[in-house]
Amino acid sequence: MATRKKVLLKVIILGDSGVGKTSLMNQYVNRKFSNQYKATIGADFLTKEVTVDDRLVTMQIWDTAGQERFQSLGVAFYRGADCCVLVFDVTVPRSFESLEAWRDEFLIQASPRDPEHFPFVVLGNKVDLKDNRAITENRAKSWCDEKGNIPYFETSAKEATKVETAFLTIARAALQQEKDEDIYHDFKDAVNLDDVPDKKQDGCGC
Amino acid sequence: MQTPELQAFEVHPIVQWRSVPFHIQSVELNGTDLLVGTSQGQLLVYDLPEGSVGAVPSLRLTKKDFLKTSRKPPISQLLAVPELNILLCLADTYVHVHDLTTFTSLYTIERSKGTLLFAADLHVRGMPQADTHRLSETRSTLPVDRLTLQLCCIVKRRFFVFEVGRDEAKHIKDQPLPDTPQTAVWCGRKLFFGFKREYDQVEIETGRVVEVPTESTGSFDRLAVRLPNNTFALTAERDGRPVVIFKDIEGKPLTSYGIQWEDWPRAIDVYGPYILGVTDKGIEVRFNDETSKLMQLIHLDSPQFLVHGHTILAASPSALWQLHPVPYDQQIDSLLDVNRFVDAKKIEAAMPGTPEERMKRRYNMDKAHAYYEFNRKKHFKVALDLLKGIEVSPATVLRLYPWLLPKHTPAEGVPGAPQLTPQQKQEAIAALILYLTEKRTQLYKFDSKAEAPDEADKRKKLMSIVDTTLLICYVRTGSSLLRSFVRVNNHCDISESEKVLKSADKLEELVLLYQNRGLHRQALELLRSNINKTTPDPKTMDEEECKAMAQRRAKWMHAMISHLQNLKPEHVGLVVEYSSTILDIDEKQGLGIFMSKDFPNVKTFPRVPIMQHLQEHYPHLLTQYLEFVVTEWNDTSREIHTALALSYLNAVLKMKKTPPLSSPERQRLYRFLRTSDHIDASLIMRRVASAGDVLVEERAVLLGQLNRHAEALRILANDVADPSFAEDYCNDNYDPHDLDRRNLYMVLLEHYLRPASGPPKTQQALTILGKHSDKVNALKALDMLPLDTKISEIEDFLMAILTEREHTRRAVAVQANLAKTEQLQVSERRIAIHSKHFKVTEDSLCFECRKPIRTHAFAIYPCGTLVHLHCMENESTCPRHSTRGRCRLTLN
Repeated sequence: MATRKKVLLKVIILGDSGVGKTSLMNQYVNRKFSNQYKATIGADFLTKEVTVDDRLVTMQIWDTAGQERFQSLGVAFYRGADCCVLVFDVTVPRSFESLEAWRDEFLIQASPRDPEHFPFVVLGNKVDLKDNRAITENRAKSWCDEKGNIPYFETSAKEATKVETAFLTIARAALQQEKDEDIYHDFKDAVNLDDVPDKKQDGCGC
Repeated sequence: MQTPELQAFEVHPIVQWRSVPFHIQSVELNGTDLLVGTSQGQLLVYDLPEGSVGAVPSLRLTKKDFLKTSRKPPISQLLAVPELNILLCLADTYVHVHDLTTFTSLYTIERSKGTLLFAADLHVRGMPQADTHRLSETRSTLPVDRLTLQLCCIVKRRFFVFEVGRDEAKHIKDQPLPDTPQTAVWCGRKLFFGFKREYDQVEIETGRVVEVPTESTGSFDRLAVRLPNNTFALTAERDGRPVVIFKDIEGKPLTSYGIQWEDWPRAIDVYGPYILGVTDKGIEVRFNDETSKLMQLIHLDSPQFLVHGHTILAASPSALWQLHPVPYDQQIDSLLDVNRFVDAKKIEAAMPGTPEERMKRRYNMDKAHAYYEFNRKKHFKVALDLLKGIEVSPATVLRLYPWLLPKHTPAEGVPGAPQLTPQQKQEAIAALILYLTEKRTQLYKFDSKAEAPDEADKRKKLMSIVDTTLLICYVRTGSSLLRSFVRVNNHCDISESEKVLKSADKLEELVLLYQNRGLHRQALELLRSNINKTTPDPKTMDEEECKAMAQRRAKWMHAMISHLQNLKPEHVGLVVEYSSTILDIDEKQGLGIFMSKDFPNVKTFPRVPIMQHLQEHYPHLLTQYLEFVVTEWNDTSREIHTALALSYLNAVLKMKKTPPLSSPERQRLYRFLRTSDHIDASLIMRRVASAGDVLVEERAVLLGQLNRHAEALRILANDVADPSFAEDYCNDNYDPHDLDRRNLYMVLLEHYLRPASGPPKTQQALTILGKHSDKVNALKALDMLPLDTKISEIEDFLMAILTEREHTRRAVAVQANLAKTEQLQVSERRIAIHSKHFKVTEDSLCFECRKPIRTHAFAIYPCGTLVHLHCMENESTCPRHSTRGRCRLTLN
């Protein structure tokens, strides 16, 4: 079991192009924000050490290119993720409507063992642009509730609104997921033990 | 205990001494000469031709007088150096030098007295780290003229180094040691010594001693062996067990693992993927990797050491054995026969061959291995990973799953399908899901631009197979990923997926799949049939059942509604057609399909077909829809507005008695006719006219829209009691710039004052005159008034006219005076400007370019700054003062 070993949590951020995935990550990890838009190419990650419930964990946050679809990334990229963060722009209805598609892509690619309980977190970004708001908090929340009570946060990478809180929730969800996986692996090992003598008999004839 | 079955080496006894009074003490292999030193100082020379296997070598020569002494001491070490054509031999504690061809003695190194063992190595001048191992491939290319033979003799706790030639041995140095070494070996310009408790490396030139760490502290038989490529094998201890570790020439570890042995090896050699060790049990042949797996145990009677030349020999005091390596492919075959795939692949890795040959070998082995893992061991993931590694086609992989895909029969080349338990089947599917998701990513990632058409077809087909199978897998495992999968971009074969999803009763997912692929009619048809199937029937069901049924139906209805609302405008035919299903059950929800603000597509639906549909089948809902479209979405189309007007009109006409204008039905009609600019007035007019003489007000409005103002006003003036309608009409339509409309008030007056029939309506006329005196021709109006009109009655009108006239006159007078004043001011300014002068001399410079103005055109700012006209950048800003506006430009 996971006894105090060093924990690495893999978190993947998905969402349409320009919703602020990179900005959110930069705000969280480096506490910096730039108004300039620069499209992410491929995928990149930053790491941050955080304390979650008295436990030191390393979060590996994978930022992805929203412009390209999943094809360019591939299964290996998604597998082993502990939490998936879906981001949309509260001023762009289309980015909200894409959440479903991003979620589907992720699930198929990552093939988590227990898809129904895999942790997602939804972030409605750019809430500082109050005048252009197109997706109400209620609409976003009800979508999240429908998908199995996904935690929802209204963030602004620009003004650092709720970014810290949201990522703490992400870390906590990822940690829980990682623990569950561990239990699974332990169980799996136990099964494998039965195989070993059998293998030896056949493999090298001892 | 392991009992290896493999035969990596065939063992042939080639020399066996049973009844001789001496025994084998040392052996050396020089080309085809097999040299044996005996315990009684003789040298025996056998012929051992290259390629002979197991043949007894013929004894060519017995040199009894090999050592020039009568005492017959044992020959304990022999070393042939063909480069110098000499043979080194240790006997009687001296190192003797012999000719390698004739075996006659050349000389004895006198200073080597007391030698226990020696180590010799060829050195190349200028190449301190040349690989001079006798089996190394580079040895034959070493420059002969730069070779020197270095000899190290161990004499108790001291070592001597000589440089040995054919004629003499030069003493280089000697140095004391902490203990008597058990083993010594050259490594470049250094020496490895193995003592009871440690290994040391001594640099010959400086005499510096460095311990070589081996993590072993115990006391055991140390052994250091030199291997090709300047690597060294050392015995060591790990967790109290004997291991062999590998070091480079500097004494640094080469591998993280050690080869584990049951017993301390007395001698070590490597061959191909194997490491050979001589122990009490015989010769152990192990894999030279972290597994140290024992592959063959050769039982021999007390073997002592190994000799490696063109063949490998093992020696005991009374026998010599040839260890002949079995060809690799034979070894591999025998391992494959017993399903030892991992071992076989390790041997394969040691085989030579071109990359193509190796890939082919690898392919076949991995494939066989995968089938074995899958069918026999039920290690499905391992099997599929192997198949993925060699990139077999997914179709081949799927043949392993005949029970999953009924239409695929096991093809040839695949051993009979195994019987799997349900649990195993689930595991097999789980492995397949992982395999297929990776495969499909590859297929989708493929750059389709660089692809030939037939290749593209093949790939599409493959994608279809992969995706359809994945769908089946999700269905079989009951995974909730199915729902996600049918929504992502996929190439599932529709008819196959239909069958699968239907038989598993995954109808919602089937709908989503249809939807995803744009098969809207199929999706809607399925939804409709489900709605019909879940209709509660109170005759056959009790209340509870009815309720449950209605709930299920509500779910399907909701699915259908949202499907319709997400369709594109071009599918409006489908929207209309299938909306009936909902409308027939629940009109409110049905109408909601067309009137939703939450779905952006709904607003873009063409509205005429919807309108027609409602009109034909649900006329009572039409008004509601049209009102919504006009008020919420500001529709401005003629069809919609006309239809709405008609529907309002029909509502009024349907009533038995025409209601008064104040009734809500007529109000909304009248108001809409007055406000809408998009109705087909003549059409409505015809309908209104056909209803007879009712609806006078509406008719007037319509006439107005048709620009038939005279008629409209006649009706309003004569047939409508309330004069405010006529006045409102004029207010609505008056336009002083439109020929038809600027006379409206006059026309009305005319109707009031000179009616075709009945008495004139002077009072109404006077009211109009009083309020709108500015919009009528006063003279004409006065003319029309009856002669008996009292002045007091038209006082308002006259006052209004007079006031207005006076106002206009004064306003014009003020304007005229102002204009005159302005003109005076301008000419005053002109005179003032003209009266200024400025002298331009030869010294006058342009402020910008600093050149004289001379006779060029120039400009001058009010402050007197001069610039060339062509240098001037901004005429309103003086370059000297950079003031805006203050220095206004004056041109001379």
